[in-house]
Amino acid sequence: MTHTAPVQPPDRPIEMSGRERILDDARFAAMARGESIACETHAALAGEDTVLEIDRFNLHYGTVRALYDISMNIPRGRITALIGPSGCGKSTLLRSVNRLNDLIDSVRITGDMRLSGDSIYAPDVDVIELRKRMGMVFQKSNPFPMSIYENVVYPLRVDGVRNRGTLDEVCERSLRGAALWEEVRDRLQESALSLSGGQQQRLCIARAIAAEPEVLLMDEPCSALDPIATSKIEELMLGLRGEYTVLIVTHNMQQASRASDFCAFMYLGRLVEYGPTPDMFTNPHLRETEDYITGRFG
Amino acid sequence: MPTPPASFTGRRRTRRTRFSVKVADALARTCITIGGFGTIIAVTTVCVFLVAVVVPLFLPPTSEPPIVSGIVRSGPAEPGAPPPPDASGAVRRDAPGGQRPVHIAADEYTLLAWTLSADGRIDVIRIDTGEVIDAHTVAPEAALTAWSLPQRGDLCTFGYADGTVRLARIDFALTFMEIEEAPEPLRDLDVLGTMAWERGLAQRTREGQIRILRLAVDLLDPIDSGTTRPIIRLDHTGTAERPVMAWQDADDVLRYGQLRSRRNLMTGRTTLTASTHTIPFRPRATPPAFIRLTGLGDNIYIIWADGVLHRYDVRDPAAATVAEEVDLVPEPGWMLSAVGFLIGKTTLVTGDDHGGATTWFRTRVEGAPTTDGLVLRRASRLDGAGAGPVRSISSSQRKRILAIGHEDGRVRLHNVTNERFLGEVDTVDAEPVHSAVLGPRDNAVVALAGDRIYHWEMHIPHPEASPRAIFGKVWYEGYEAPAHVWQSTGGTDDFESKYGLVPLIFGTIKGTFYSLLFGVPLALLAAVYTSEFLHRRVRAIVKPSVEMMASLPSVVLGFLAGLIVAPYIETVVPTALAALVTIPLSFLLLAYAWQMLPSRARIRFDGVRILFIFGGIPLGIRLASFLGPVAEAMLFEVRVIDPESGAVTAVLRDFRLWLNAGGGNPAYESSPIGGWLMLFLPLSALLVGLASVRLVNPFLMLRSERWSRRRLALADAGKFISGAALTLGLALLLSAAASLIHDPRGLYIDTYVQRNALIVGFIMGFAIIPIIYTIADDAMGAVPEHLRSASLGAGATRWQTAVRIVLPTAMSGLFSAVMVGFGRAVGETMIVLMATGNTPVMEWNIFSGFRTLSANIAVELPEAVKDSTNYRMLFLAALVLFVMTFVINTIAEFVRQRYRRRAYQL
Repeated sequence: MTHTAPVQPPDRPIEMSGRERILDDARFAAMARGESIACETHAALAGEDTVLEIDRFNLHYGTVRALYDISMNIPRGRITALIGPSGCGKSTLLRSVNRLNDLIDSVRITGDMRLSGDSIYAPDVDVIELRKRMGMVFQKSNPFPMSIYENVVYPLRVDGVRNRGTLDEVCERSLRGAALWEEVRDRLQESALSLSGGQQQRLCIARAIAAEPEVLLMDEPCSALDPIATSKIEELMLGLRGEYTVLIVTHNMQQASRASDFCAFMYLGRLVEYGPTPDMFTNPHLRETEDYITGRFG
Repeated sequence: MPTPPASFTGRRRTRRTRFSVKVADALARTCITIGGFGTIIAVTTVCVFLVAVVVPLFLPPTSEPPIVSGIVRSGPAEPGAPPPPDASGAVRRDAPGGQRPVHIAADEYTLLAWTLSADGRIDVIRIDTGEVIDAHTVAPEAALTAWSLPQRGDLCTFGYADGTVRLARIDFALTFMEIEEAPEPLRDLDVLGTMAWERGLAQRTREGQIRILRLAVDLLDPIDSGTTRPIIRLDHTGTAERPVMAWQDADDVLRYGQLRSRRNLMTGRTTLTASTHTIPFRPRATPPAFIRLTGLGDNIYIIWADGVLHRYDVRDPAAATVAEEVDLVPEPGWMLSAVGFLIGKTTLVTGDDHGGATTWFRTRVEGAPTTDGLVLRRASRLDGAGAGPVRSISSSQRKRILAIGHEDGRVRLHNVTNERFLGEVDTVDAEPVHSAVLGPRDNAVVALAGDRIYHWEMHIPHPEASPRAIFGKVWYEGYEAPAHVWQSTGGTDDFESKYGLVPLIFGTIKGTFYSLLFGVPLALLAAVYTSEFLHRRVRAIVKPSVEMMASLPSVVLGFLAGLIVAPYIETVVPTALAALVTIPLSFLLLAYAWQMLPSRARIRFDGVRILFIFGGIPLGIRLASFLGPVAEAMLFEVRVIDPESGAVTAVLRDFRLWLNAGGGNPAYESSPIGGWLMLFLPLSALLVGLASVRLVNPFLMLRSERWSRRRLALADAGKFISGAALTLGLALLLSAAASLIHDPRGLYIDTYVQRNALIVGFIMGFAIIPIIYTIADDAMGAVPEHLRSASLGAGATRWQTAVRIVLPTAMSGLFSAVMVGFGRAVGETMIVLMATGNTPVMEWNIFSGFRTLSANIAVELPEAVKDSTNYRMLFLAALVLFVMTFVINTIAEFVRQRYRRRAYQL
C-alpha cells in the first residue's frame, strides 16, 4: 500500500539540506532521539465545535513507530488540511480515522479517537457502522467497474436500501454536491470507467458524500489530476464547507493555503503545529513550520 | 568536429550495441518464433491426423469393373444325368427350372464359385474363366423340388419329389502344401497364379505356398419327412448337430421337425431322425410363395406373393398357432418377389416387384395381442430408386450389408441398420440377376446373371458408419425403438457393432456436470475465503497445500474412488447423502454459535475460531450417521407385495431397495415422497434463503439498529434455524404435491450402482478443485487493492466487498478458472475409467454410471484393430472431444474477453 509506507525510523539521520540549522532546535533534537513533542496548537481552535477528537494517538507498524502521541481536534463543518513532507504520517493518520489501517496485519495502536464523542477504537465498536459515518476519497480515483449510478449509490446499497426513489434522489443530490450532475445526468447507466480522471475523482467524492458522512476524509485527492481538474475539486471542497467536515491530506502547499480553514503540519510522525490556515502560512509560531512552508526543506 | 564530452565515470561509452547482445537477441527471437510456430503446427498436425484417420469412415465403397465370364461346360466330371423334374407342380416360384443355375456361392478368395441348378446339379466354376472344373449332384435318386441354402456355414437341405428330405454339407475345402512338395506343374505357378488341378483350383500364395481349393459335397441319407408328396417349400436353421426344419409338401401340409443326428460307431455314418410335428396350417386362396424359419427355430414365416405373412409361433410345436398376420408390401397391389434374412436370421428382408426392399424384425410391444408378446415390425425401407423387381436377396456373412439383385441387371448394396445405400453395380447387357452374393470377406460381389458369371471386386470400408448412425437414433435389431447405442463388440458372430457416439458425449457431459456441481462452489468459495478473509500468513500455507492436491495423479484418485470410496459409500448411502446436508449445516450452526459467545471470549479465542468452526465436519458426519438412517426409515419405506394375493408380505426400510421399487414394479409399493424431498431440498433452501434476504433482512436491519451484537447474533441464529425448518417444511410440501403427479424415480434418481456419478462427482470434483481454486484466487488477488479500500471505506463489510466488488471485477478470471476446470473434467480419463463402471447408458440418474469419450478411447483402443471401423470410430470420438473442448474454450474466451474489457479499464 503506497500511501501507508512506514516512516523513516527515527534513529536514522535526517537527510535534508537545512539539517545543521534545524538540529539546533530542541524540538528536532527530541524528534531525532525518538521522543514525542508537544504540538503548538493555536488558540483560535479553541472556539471551534469539535467533531473528531484525536487523543494521544500512537501507531506502530510492527516495531516501527509511525505516529507519536497525536492529539488534535477537528472542527465541525470546516476544512482541515494535513501537510508535511512525504512519510510524515499524514495518510496513516487519515486512514486511522476510519480504521482502514486495521487491514494491515502488523499495526498496533494506543490512544483513541472519538467521533462526535463515540470512541473509534473501543473494543466493542462496530467498524462497519463507524465507516458509514465517514466518507473517504483516495489519492487515486477508484470508481468501481459498474455504472455511474451504481457507484454513487453503493454506500446505500451495502446498507440495504432498495427503494428506487430514495436511491435516485441520493444519486442526484450527491452528484450535484460533487458538481458532476450536469456532466453525467444523461449517462448515469454508463460505466464509470468511461469518465475522465477528474470526473472519476469527483464521482468518488459523490460516492463518499452519498451516505451523508459526518467527516469526509480526503487522501491527496488531487495529486493525480491536472490543474483544471484540481481547481474544480478545490471549488467543490469549498462548496462543501459548512455542510461537511473535511479532513484532507495534501502535498500541495498552495492547495492547503487556498482551500482549507485549518492546517496541521506534521513531521516525522509528530504533529508539530496546528492552527488556522492564514496564520499558519503568514504567521507560523514555529520556525520549523515556516521553513517547511517557505520550502527550505521537505 | 566537437569533441565528445568527458566521460563521467571515466569509462568510454560504446556507441554500438555489443555483438553478444545482438546474438542473444536474434537467438531469442528465433527460438520464440520456432516455439510459437511449432506449437501451432503440432496442434494442427494432431487435428489433421485425427481427421485423416476419421475421414475414411464416410467414404463410399468403390468397385472395380466386373470380370464377366460365360459358363463353359467342358469340365472333366459329368455326373449321371439327373432325373427330370417331377411333374407335380413342384417348381418353386423363384426357380427358372431346367439346368439353368439358380443359386451361386463363392469361396473366401472369390476364386471358385458353385452353382445349384434346379435339377440338382452342382457345378464348380472358376470365376475368372467360367470354366466348370467339377460337378456334383444333390438329386441322385428322386427329383429335386425344394432347397434351402445357408447364408453362412455349410449346411444345406434339399426336398425331393418323393417326399424325402436330405441334409448336405457343401463347402470349399482348402489344403495347403509347401512349394517343394507340390506336384511338378504347380511349382511353375507365378505368385497368385491359378491353375485347375484335380477337380479343384490351385493357387500360389504370396507366402510361396500352394493352396488347393475344392468343393466338398457330403450328401446325407434321406430322412422320412412324414409325407410321400413332393416337398415344395423348405427352410432350415440351427447347427449341423441339431438342425430344425420346416417344410410344406404339394398339399400345403406344414410340418416342423427337430432333427437329431446319431453317429453309428461301427460304420462312422451319421443317421438323422426327425421328430416331426404337423402344424395346423391356415390356408389362403393361393398357395404360399415362401417359407422361412427364424434363427432360433421359434417362428415359421409363411409368406404369400401378395405380401401376406403368417407368423407361426412354434416354441411349443405341439401347440403351434398363428401368432399374427402381417402385410409386408408397402403399397396395396405390389407383389413380393424375393425374401431373405440378415445374418442371425432375425431380420427378415422382403424384396418387391417395385425394386425396393423392406426389413422386419420382432420387438416386444407392451400389450401386444400376439401369443408371445412380440410384434413383427417394419424396421427400415431400402429404396429401389427405380430399379427393376428384386430377384435375389443375400446378406453379408459378417455385417448388415445386403446385396440385392434386380431384374434389370443391377446389384444394389445397402447397409440395413442405418439405411445407407452403399452403391450399385450393373451387368453388361442388363441381364436379370438370378443370384448375387457378397464374397465371404465382403470384398467382392459374385452374381449369376443371364448365363454369365459376374465378379466385381469391391471395397466397402465402413458400411455401418454414417453421420445418422453415429449421431442419430438408430433402430437396432431386436430393440423396442430407435435408440442411441454404443456397443462396439459383442459375444456372437452375428453381433452388430453399434457405434452411436451420443451416449459417450452424454456420459462426458454428465460426468463433467456432476463434478462441476460439486467442485466449482467449493473451489470458488475457498478462493473467496483465502483471498478476502484469511490472514496472509495462513494463506501462504493454505494455497500451496491446495495446489499440491493438483499434483495427485488422477489414477490414484480413480483408484481411491473405484476401490475404496465407491464400495464404502455403497454401505452408507443414506448417511452419505445426509452428510451433504448436515456438514454445511453444522458449519453454519457453529459459526452462529461463535457469534453468540461473549465478545471478550470471542476476542480472546479468536485464534481458534477456524478450528472451532471446522468442528462442523465431525459434527456433520456424526449428525448424518444419526439422521441418515432415521430419514431412511421414515421416508424410504417399501412394502413388498405378494403378486398372487396382493397382500403385504413385508415392510422394508431400505433406500436402495426403494430406488428399485419405482417405475410400476408390481412387487413393491412405496411412496415417491422421499425422492422428491431429496430433489426439492436444495430448491426450497434457495427459495427460503432468497426470501430471507429480500424480506427478513431489511426488517431485521430496521429493528436491530440499537441491538447489541449478542442479541443480533441470537436473532440471526434464530432466523437461520427457523429458515432451516421452513426449508424442510417447504420441501416436504412440494414433495407431497409432486408425489401426487409423478414418481421421480427413473429421471434423476434410479437404481443405485456401486460406481456412479455421485462418486465421480465427488472424486473428480476433488481433482478439479485445486486448478479452479488457484486460478480464482489469483484472479481475486489481482483486483486492485484501492477498490477494496474504497468499498470498505464506504462502509461495506468484507463479505459485501467480496461479493459486490471483488467477484464482479475478477469475473473474467473466475470464469477462466471454471472453464479450465471444465476442460479438465471433460478430458479426465483415469478417474471416470476406474469409478464409473463404464456403462454407456444415457440417463441423468446420479446413482448410475456412464462412459465418457475419453474413458471409451482408453478402454477400447488397445483392442481395436488398426484401420478397423472400431479404430476409426475411436479416433472420431477423439475428434469429437477435441471439437467439444475447442468450442467450449472459444466460447469461454469470448465471454472472458467481455468481462475483461469491462473490468480492466482501471
